[in-house]
Amino acid sequence: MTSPQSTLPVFGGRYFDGQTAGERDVEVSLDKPGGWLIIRRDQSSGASIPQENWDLDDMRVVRDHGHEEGEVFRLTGKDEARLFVPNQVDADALRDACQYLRKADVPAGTLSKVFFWTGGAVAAMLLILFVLLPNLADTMATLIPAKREEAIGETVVAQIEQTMKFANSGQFCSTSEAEAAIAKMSDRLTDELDLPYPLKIRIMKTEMINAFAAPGGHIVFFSGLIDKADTPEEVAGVLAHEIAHVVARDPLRIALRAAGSAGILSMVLGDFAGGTLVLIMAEQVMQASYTREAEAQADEFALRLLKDAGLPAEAFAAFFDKLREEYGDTDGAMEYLSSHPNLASRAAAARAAETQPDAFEPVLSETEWAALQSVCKSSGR
Amino acid sequence: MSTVSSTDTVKGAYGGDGGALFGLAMKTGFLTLITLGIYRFWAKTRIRRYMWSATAPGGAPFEYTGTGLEKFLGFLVAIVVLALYLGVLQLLLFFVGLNIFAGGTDPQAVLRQLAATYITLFAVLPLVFFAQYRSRRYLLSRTRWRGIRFGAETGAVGYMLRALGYTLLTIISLGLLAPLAAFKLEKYMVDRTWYGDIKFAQDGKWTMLYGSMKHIFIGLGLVIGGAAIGGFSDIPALAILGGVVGTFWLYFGIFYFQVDGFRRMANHKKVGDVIGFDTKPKVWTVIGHVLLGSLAAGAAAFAVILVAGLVGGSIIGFSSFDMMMNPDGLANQQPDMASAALGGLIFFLGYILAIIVAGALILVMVNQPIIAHYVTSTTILNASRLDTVRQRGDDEMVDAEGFADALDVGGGF
Repeated sequence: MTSPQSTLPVFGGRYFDGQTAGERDVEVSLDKPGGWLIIRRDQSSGASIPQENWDLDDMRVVRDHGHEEGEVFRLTGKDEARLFVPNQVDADALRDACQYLRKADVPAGTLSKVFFWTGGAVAAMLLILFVLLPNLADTMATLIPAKREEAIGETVVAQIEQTMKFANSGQFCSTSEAEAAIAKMSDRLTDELDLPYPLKIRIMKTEMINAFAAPGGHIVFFSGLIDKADTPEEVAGVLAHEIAHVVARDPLRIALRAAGSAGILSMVLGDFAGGTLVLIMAEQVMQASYTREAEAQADEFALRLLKDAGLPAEAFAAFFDKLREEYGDTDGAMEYLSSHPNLASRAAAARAAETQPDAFEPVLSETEWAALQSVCKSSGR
Repeated sequence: MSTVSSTDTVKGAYGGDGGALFGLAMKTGFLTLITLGIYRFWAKTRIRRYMWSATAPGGAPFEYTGTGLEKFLGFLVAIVVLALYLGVLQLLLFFVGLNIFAGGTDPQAVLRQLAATYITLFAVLPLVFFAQYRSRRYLLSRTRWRGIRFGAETGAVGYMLRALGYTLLTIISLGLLAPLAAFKLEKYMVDRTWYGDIKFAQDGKWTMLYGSMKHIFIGLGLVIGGAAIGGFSDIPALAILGGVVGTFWLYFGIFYFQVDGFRRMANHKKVGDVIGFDTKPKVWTVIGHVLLGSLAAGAAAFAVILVAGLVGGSIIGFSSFDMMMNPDGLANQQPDMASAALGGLIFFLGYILAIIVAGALILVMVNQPIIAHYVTSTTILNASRLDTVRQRGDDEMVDAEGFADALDVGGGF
C-alpha cells in the first residue's frame, strides 16, 4: 500500500496488462508482511500504469508450464493481466510468499452442473440408442415392400454362400425327396399363418450346427444341424424358431438397427489405452441386447407354432441340450455379451411349455427323415 | 518501449523439455486409464498448457486458458447431438441404399449391397469438417499471447460446405486441383482469424502450392510410369523398380508438402496488414524426428510387452511346475487358476503400459521436437505493431471442442 521500502526484495518482471499486447518492464517488490505484491513501471519507460497492488492471496500461477525458467502469475477471477517473472530465483521467492497459487477457482454450483449435464447426456443417449433408433428402425422395416425385402435376402444369402464356400462345404444341397420333406414340415407349422412372402428354405453343406433367417423369408439350415438331430421334430423346432424370425421381420429390423447405431458407441468412449477392449465389449452388449430380445420372442412364438401343429416341445429342448454339449453355454456375466439367451434356460422354457404332452403324429415318416438326413451326403451338391 | 530489437523482429523460441513432458504424459495417461477415459479431457488440456507455454516468441510465453471441465461438458453436448443426427441419418441412408442397391445374387450385386452399408460413412464426413473448424476456433479462443486473446469468427457450416465442394473437386480432377483445395480452405480459416483487434489475412496464390506438391507428383509419376513402361516393354523389373522408388518418393513428397506448404503459406500470411512471418522449416529435420521417434516408441512398446509377457508367463509356468512337484496337493486346481489370472493380468497391464509409453514417446520425440522446429525457425516481422494491439472479447463456446473429441478429429494433443 505504501511506497516500497528499501528493505523489501525487489526484482524485475514483464507485465502484460491484458488490454494491449504491449510489453512493459516492471519492477516488482514483495511486501510479504503486508500481503501485497507491488508492481511499478520501470523508471525508464513512460507512465500509464504507475503502480498496481496484487493481494498475495488472490495470486495464481499458470500451471504445467513448459518454459525453461520463470513463472507466469495472474489474479483470480476475470482479471486479464499477466506478470511474467523470468528469473527462477525471484519466481521461487514469490511462490513461497503466496499460499493459494495452485488453487482451482471453481465457481459455485459447478458440481451440480456437472451432475445435471452428465445425467442428462446419459439419459439422452439411452433414449436414443434403446428407444428412438430401434423404433425408427422397426418403422422403416415396415416401409420396405415385401418384394424388395425378398431381393435383399436373396443377396444376403448369396453373400454368405460366397464367404462360406471353400473346399467341400458352403454349397447348397438339394434332392426332390428332401425338398418334399422340408415342405411337409413347414406346411404343418405354417398352416394357419399369414406370411407376407413364401418361405424359401435351403440346406447348406457345412459341419456347423446352426440355421439362420435372412430378410424376405429366406431360411438356411446348415447340414450339420440336420446330421446331429436325432428326430425330425428337433429340426421342426428350429424351423419354427426361424419362421418366427421371418414373421417378426427380425433380420431386416436388426440390420437397420445396427446401421443406425453404428459408430455411436465408439464416439462416446473415444480412444484411450485399453479403450478398444471396453469398446468391443460395450458394442457387443448393445447389439446383444437387441438380438437377445428378438431371440427370446422367437422362441416363444416357435413354441406356439409347435403347439398349433401338435408337435412336442421336448424335441426343441433336446436340441438346445445338444448345442450346449457341443459349444458350451453362456453363464453369469458372459450372458450379457451373448447374442442369444442362455441355452439351459431356453431348454427349460421349452420343456415348461409342454406343447404336446401326449402321443403325436411324427412330422416326417421314417423314409422322409432318412431322405432329409442324406441330402448333403449322396449328391454332394 | 519493448524488447523488440532494432530490426523490428521477434524470434520464435521453444523451451519445452522432453523429460518434463514425458512425465506429464505418463501421469495423465495413467489418470486417463484408471478413470476409464474420462480424464482424457483434462489430460489433453494439461499437455496443451505445457506446449503452449513452452512456445515463447521473444521470450514471452503463450498461454492456454482452456479447461478440462469445459471440454468434458462440451463433449456431453456434442455426443447427444451427434448420436441423434448420426443415428437418424445413418438409418435413412441405409434405408435408401437398400432400396436402390439391393437384389441379385451375382458377386457384383453382393458388392453393391455391401456398398449400401458403407453409404452411412457419408453421414460422418461433413461433420468431420464442421468439427475441424469448431475445434480450431475453440483452440484460438483459449490461446493468449502477451495477454491478448486469439479468436476466430463463426463459420463452421461455411467451412463444411466449402470443404465438401473442394474435396469433390479434388477427386474429380484426379488430385490435380488438390493445391486449390488446400489453399482455399486454409485461406477461409486464416481470413477469419484474429489476434486481439487485428485480423489475419492469407495472401499469395493457390498455384504456389504446386511447388510444394512437386514430389508427390514425381512419386506418383514413377509408380504409374514404371508400370506403363514395364507393361509395354514386358520387363516387369521396371514396373517393380518404379513402384518401390515411387512409393518412397511419394512418402517423402507428403512430408515435403506438409513442410514446404506450411512455409509458403506462412510466408504469405499477414496480421493487421503489416505483421508478417519469415519461416524456414527443414523437411529432413521433420522426417528425422518422425522416423527416430516412431522407432523409439515401437521399440519401447515392444520391450514393455516382452517383459510383461516373460513375467506373466513365468508366473503361470511356476505354478504348473509346482503342481508337478506336488501331484497330490490338496488345492491342485485353485492355485493354478489364481496364478493364471495373475499372469494374464500382468500381461494385460503390460499391454496398457506399452500403449501409454508409446503415446508419451511419440509426444516427446515426434510432436514436441517438430513443433519446436517450426517455432524456432519462424521470425515475426514488423513486430512493433504488436505493441498497440488491443484485447478482443471473450468467445463463449458451449460445445467447446466436443465435436472434434467425439469424432476424433485433430492431432494427438
